Amino acid sequence: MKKKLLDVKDLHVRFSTSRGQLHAVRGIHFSIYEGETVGIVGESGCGKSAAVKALTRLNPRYTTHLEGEVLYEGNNLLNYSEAQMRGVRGKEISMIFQDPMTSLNPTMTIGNQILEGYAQHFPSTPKAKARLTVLEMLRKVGIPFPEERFNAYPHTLSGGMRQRVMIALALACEPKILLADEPTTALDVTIQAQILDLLKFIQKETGTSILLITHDMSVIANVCDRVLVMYAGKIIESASVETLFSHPQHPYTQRLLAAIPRLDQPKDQPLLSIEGAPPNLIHSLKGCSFCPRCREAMTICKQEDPPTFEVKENHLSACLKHDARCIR
Amino acid sequence: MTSPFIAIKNLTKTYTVGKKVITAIDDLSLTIDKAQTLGLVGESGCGKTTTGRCLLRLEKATSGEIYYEKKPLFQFNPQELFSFRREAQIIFQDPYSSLNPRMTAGDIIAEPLRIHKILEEKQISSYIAQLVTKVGLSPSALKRFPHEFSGGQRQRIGIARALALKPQFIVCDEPISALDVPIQAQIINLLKDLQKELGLTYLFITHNLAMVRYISDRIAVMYLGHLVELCNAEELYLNPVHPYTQALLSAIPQIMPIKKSSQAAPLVHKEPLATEQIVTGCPFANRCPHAMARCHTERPKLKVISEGHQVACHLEGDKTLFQSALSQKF
Repeated sequence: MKKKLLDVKDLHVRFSTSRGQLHAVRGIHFSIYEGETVGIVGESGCGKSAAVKALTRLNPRYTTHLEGEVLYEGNNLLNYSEAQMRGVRGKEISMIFQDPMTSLNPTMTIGNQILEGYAQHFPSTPKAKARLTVLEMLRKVGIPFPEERFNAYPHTLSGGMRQRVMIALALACEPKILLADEPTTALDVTIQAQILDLLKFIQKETGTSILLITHDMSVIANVCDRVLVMYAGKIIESASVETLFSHPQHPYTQRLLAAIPRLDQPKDQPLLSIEGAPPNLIHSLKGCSFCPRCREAMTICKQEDPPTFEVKENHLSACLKHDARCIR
Repeated sequence: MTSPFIAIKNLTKTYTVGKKVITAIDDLSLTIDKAQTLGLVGESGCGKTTTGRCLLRLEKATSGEIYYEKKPLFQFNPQELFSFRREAQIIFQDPYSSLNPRMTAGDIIAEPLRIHKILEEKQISSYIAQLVTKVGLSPSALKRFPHEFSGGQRQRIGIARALALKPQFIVCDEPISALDVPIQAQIINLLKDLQKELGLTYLFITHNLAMVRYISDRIAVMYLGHLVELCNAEELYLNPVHPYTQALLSAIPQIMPIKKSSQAAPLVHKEPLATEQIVTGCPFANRCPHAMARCHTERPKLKVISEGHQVACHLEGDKTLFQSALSQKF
């Protein structure tokens, strides 16, 4: 059995807004094991970014209310002080953001940016040695001529190269967990393929666990070991990649998979969309959150919040159709 | 054969930035038939949006001509241009920034009708109520402001606005890129239904090769301002000829692995050149796995290789060379 690195228990994220409290993440449970890649997939606004940012407490501090437990090596990160958190971010748990254009500092050379984070966590390392580590990192993520590029500013690099710099920055201190928030969404498809290959390579090389957020099911299929499907702030299904794609259980997952354009199917078949839109999380929800868009909805779905059922070993689905009362 | 609805002839568009001249479109020629959809695909910066904007005369081309129903677009006088604006519309990529936040959905959709004075003020409200129902919104939505809608609903407002003047031709500039997958499918299905019902002609610009297949009759692939391949939509997926098209297709992450055909393309490793760096030769040569000496010195011309299938690649002219390049790879 692999070692459990991160254990999230009943995590809630609430944002204070002018229109009331927005309950973005409504009680999620999951764990990350050593050396695995976990994917979180869902539509925009389903709470996937809010949940992942909560793991390193990067949500806006004064308007976010976090509740639950994020256990990293037995300690609850939600109880850490800001100073303690700074020791975790970058060193233990690192993050790559969606937009490599805005997440790098435009006034610093890329080498110095990576060096800055490294010096924060290893203050006693001599500067020349730190510089070598940074160059090694740049080489590892596939940046040609690292010595020259060390002194380059972000605006002189292409989107794909900047995302490589972000990855180097995130991995410089050899974190145990890498959180990747839509790392390829802003990139072209050929560059996306390169970055996904790089993530796979890094994983093999360093054994870092990766938590990958995306809205793209096909990215999940190519990179992840395990998948969590989120809808309206909850994890509604979780399983290994093979199981999820071959035997999806939750009606939302089934419909999500059917909506993906496939190259191996005739093109005159209409695409299967999901009618309607996800619920507004400012309002409190009664019953199953997917119920208004679900074709299989029963009367009970409007009244009861579905608990999570273990359909098979390691395959969880939160749908009342698995309830003993509903199975005929 | 009847003459095409829209014909682009040797279209070139350059921008001058400081002392640099950037060629966004380089000698592009293609045609669009009536009531058909031409998909225009390529990576960011390849000139696909500029092509769309030139087609609507939102940009003036540096050279070349566009014929709209046989009439030269760039020579239209103001009256002709005004009536052309009625017939050709655009749907923008970003449903967040392309709607005026201070206007209600109703006013946004009614504005083109008021400008072109098509309907009496009294008739407008019933007409737009009918229109929004057609795009799948309820008439009560007309009183609301853009920020009250979701991304998919906003895109429907953009579509209703484009349809208000009963146009014949619509440029869809990445209309689905900002949306979630199930919502993308909704919008594609809506656009297809509207085309069938109203006989619309679309230029569908996107970087999403998997989605464009569902709506296009023909697909044009652009790379750094050049048209590299143009063919029937099915043909492109079954028999991609240009190495760039092959690379694009193989880079699409698939849920179920597609059957690896003998022509499965190797992944492209490098990044595209900056447009000002291409002086001679094939623009794709630096990333192409089959590049020969000739590719760096001589620009390949667009050749017809089978009916309705055009490719700009030196390898295609020489079948044996192409086969040997492939066999070396595998």
